[in-house]
Amino acid sequence: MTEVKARESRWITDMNHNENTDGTWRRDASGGSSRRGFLTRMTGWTAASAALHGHQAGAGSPTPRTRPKTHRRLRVALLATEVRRHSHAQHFIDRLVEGYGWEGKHYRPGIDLVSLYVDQFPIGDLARDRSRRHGVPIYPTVAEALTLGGSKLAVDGVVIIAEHGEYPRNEKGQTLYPRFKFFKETIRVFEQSGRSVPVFNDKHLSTTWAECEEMVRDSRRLEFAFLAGSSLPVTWRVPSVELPWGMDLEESVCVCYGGVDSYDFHGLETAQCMSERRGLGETGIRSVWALRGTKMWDELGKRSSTQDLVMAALARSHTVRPPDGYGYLPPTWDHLRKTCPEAVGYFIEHRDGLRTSMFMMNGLVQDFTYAGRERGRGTVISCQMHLPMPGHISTTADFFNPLVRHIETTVVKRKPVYPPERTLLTSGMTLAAVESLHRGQVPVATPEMAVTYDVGTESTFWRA
Amino acid sequence: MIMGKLNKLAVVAPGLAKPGASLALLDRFLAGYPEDAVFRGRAASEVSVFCPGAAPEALARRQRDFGLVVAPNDEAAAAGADGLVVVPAEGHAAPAPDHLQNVLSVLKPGGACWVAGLLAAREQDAASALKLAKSLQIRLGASDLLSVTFRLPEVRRLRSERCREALIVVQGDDTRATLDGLQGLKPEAELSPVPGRTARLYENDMVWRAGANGEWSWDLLAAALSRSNNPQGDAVADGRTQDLVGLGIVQRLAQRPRAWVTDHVGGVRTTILALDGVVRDVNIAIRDRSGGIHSAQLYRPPAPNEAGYHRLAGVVTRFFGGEALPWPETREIELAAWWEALS
Repeated sequence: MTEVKARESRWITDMNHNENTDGTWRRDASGGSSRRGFLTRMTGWTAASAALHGHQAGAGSPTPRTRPKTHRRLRVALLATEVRRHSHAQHFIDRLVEGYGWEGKHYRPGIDLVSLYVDQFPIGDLARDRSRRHGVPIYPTVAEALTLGGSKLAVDGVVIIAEHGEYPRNEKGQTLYPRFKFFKETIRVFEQSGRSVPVFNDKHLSTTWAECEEMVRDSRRLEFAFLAGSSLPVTWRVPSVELPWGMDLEESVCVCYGGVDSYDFHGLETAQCMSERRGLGETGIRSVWALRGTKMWDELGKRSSTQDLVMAALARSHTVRPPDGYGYLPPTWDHLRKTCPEAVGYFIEHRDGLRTSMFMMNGLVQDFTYAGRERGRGTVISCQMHLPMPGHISTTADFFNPLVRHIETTVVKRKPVYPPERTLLTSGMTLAAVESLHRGQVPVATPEMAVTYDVGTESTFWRA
Repeated sequence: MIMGKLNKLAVVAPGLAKPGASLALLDRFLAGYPEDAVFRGRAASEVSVFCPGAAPEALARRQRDFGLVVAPNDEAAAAGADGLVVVPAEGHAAPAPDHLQNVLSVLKPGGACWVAGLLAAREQDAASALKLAKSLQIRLGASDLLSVTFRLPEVRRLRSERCREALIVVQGDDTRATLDGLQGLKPEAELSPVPGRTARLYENDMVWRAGANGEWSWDLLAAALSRSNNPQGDAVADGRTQDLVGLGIVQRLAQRPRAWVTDHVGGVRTTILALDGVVRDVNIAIRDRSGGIHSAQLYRPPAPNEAGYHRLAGVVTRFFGGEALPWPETREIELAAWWEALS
């Protein structure tokens, strides 16, 4: 408890200084109070929300708990749904045990993978091969993987990769991956052991808002670093650009591909990792509206500024499907509609007026591109979040390299590289979009998503 | 940007290979391409082509869709053009000298010509072509995609930092491998081979022995391969990452490895390492004068878009519009000399 007070006290101290991490002072676009000063007021305004979503564990926040001084290498457990060629778990496990290319070298992580829990063993399973090859035991339960077969937590970090595998779908079309189940079993071990360690959760948090909230709340309650999300925010960008911290952003657009309750999350993370850097930080989501096919194209047709950003994003794509007989032609609206008549679009209103739109244009593109416009000046920032996808242009899915690196940093420093509120919100946007489609493509109000958070000035994507 | 100022652009190519420079540049001249997130429109009022090996339906489609002018010969295609792109024949790094002279002679004074490859395969021919172009008041430039494509990461070129040693990993037959090697390495420094000295070629096991003897650097190879996202072998089988150099996998995977080692004026040494079977992308590593190593993948986006050609089209179109080359004019002579030293 002493440590909790120390963190709160330090945070309040920080909140009272309108100072950037580089020591300079800055004011928001209105010329008024600083971004952090504004968030102080927001925290009071949404006190209940702040207790849950508060900014204490944001990437720029102080971390009072320091790693115990020890010379031993830190150990992590990995909980997976299945491990097969090109499953997410295979990518994470292999990077932890074999290493990966990083900053011009083959880098071997400074943490050790010491245990696995694997839920399913499909044809082509690689879990047993990796276990045998690297001497990492597979335990029959989550608890045993975390305690290494003992009675108390015996690892320094937990990596949850509950993507892929055979799991049921509900009436909304959501695949019920056991992320929440793995997480809560982890929490149980933490509680029984009287201590907690950093946790990484791959992709969105869970399939209901209540569960997503509970996961973040647990991380606050038990005071552990919680990192989550997609590789999109941290992979290469082409060109290598960052949204200027504090920019007065008017609108964000992501154009990508994939399915509902799947790659939509990646598209939303693509946009959110840029949007959260805007003037006042993230202020939460007011509503989400998902549309498909003709309805989507008709709605997009009414939004000329969004159309401009769609084209700016497509100008960064390397995979625009050309008309027959051509290698590349600049896309036209007519070509877009003909190529992907069943495109899905999410139209999202943030509480401060920012608009985010995400389009899955299957058949047109196979990459993730972003464009955002600055209010007033009209400056457009755009790039591709580059995913060298196995089977397409690569063999090793190296966009997982920076994510694995961030996991290591989170475990070693006991501090998330970026705040879990990002993933809480992108999970929430995904859930609300699924709900919107389920209810017949109607707007869904999201008062529960009054989640505020701030990020530091530093960039966390791959650029060296 | 100078779009709209050009009246006529022309492409002279043996065929419309897909993927390849001829089709990629022709379509961008006809219909536009994105640059700095903005779609640039058609590059000129008239776009003409002479392409004897092209499929008739491919030309007819472009005539119908974009008013492409199909010329009966290269002189007709080039006549009166503000800008002309010459694409070398398949399997050749440079156009035949007499062919280049012919098309240069029909360009109008003040026009420009771009060779999508090397300007010439011999130093003397490159110098002659530049001399002829100058006498005709024609501006002459050359390069293929690899000189301008994306870099992961976007490392700074090392002209100012002074390169000490560089290594590039490529694939393909000797022509493809050495052309890619030159195009990839050349932007890094002012690299001219030592006059009168040929490059040293090592093949098969001699490649590894040369590395062990310090002819080329394993450190640079490790740095270059750390940028690959297309390792072969086990990665293809099950997606795993591997320390290809540290685990001795390179030697096991390499199929007919070749290393071209060149000593350059000023003491710089470069190695073009053709490693088919090890990786399937182009990666470069450079040691600077202070010993620091810089590395990157020279990323060539996949077909059909071949989006790297957006960049080459931008460089070529700006050059046609009057902008200076993005590199010294002596580059083409130095490259031809280097090519000659490799041959």
